[in-house]
Amino acid sequence: MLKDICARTVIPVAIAVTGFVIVCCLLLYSMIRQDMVNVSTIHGTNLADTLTRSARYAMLNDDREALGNLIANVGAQEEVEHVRIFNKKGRIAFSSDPREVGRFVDKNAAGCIACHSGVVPKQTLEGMQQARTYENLQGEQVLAVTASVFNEPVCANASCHAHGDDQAILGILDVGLDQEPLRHALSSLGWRMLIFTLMILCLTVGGVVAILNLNLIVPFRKLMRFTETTANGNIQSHKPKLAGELGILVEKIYDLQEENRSLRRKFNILLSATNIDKRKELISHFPREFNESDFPESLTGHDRKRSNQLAPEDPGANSSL
Amino acid sequence: MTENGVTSLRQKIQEQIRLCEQRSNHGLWALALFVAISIAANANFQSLATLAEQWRDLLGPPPPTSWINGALFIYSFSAVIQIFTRMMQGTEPKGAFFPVIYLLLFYLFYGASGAQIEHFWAVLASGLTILGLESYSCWNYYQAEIRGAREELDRLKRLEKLS
Repeated sequence: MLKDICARTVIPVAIAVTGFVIVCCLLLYSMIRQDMVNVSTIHGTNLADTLTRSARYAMLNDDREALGNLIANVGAQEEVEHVRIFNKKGRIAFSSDPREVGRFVDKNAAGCIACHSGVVPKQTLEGMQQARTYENLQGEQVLAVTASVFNEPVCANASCHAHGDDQAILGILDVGLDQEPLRHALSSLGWRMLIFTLMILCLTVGGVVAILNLNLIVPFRKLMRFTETTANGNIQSHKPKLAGELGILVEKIYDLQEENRSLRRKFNILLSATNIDKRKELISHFPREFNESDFPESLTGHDRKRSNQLAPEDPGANSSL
Repeated sequence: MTENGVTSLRQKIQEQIRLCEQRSNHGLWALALFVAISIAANANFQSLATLAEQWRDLLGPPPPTSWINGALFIYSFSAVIQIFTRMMQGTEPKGAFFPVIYLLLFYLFYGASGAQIEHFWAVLASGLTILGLESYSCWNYYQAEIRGAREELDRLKRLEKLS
């Protein structure tokens, strides 16, 4: 297959284009995915921040009912998987799922380990580090964002339920966002990109093949056919009309064949004008490119078997015209 | 040319053909090595991030994924252009195994930065493209060399018969 000029020309182009387009699409997909996840994380962080600010007044007034309502209402939204507030010890004080209230969260869980990996827990995290992705019991992807509720002078000095001013963090707000819509959007994007890639590949490889076929492969095959037929001695062979370098090559091949025919004619005339011994001598000195069979038997004056003795020894050098 | 001269020249050409036949397979060997590395990387891609945790204190944090993406894009593009340039100029392909080392480093960097599985596929596609082209260029170049050497052998044979 690789001896065919078409295959030899198209294979490297097809490999390079296909491979490079696939690499680019995969990298592009991963970048878009990362951007979408970042946007989703920023959205989650902003939501957590808004919730903390909204809950501040209720917390300062120790209005547990208002805080509970706020958490329940936010948690009722379709995109919100869970909302909970837990204290420094990890005991859940408020949650969108009432069954969770009073339970303790695991410090080694994915969302907690970022701060609790060291001996002393971290007080603050960058926006992106506050987020974690995990799979819930229903097998759905959840992006959870945590925001600390810091101790402020107004909290420490409040008459209702004073905290000591040495306590830096009063609690943690944990918001979980359902990532199924994002996953669905990414899946659609993946399919669209796959179709787009296949279309680009078909157009590029098909275009290259069509152009090569038109400008190189078809004219080259015509040239091959012409060379073969003229080499077989077909004088009336149709001369293909080719443009550019291939056209010049056709003319050169045609001129060579004409010259060859003319030489052969002259030699035949020369042979007919000499005696039999001289003919044998002339044939034995004739260029190796000619076969004895190129000359009529009447001119050589002996049968083919005998004339083989006069032919050059090397069969490789005796290629026919 | 003396008979000894012809014999030694023939041996030299035969040796050249043998070497070319060996070298024409270098690209395929490199491709096979890369596929083996990819299979191993696929099995351990997620665990590379855990392994990297132990080295993080010593070597520092890995570069961000977006930087590695950019490096892979530039590397793939320049490697393909380099192979095409070499094919156009007809120069000898050298270092068929170098891309395997670069691609292995990409696997390690992606793994250490905790990248997603699509990055593995990107490196795999890039490797198959570069090494596929490299092995094609290698095979093509040495096959042409072998054809030239065989023609030379034929010419020697004819010379011997004539003398």
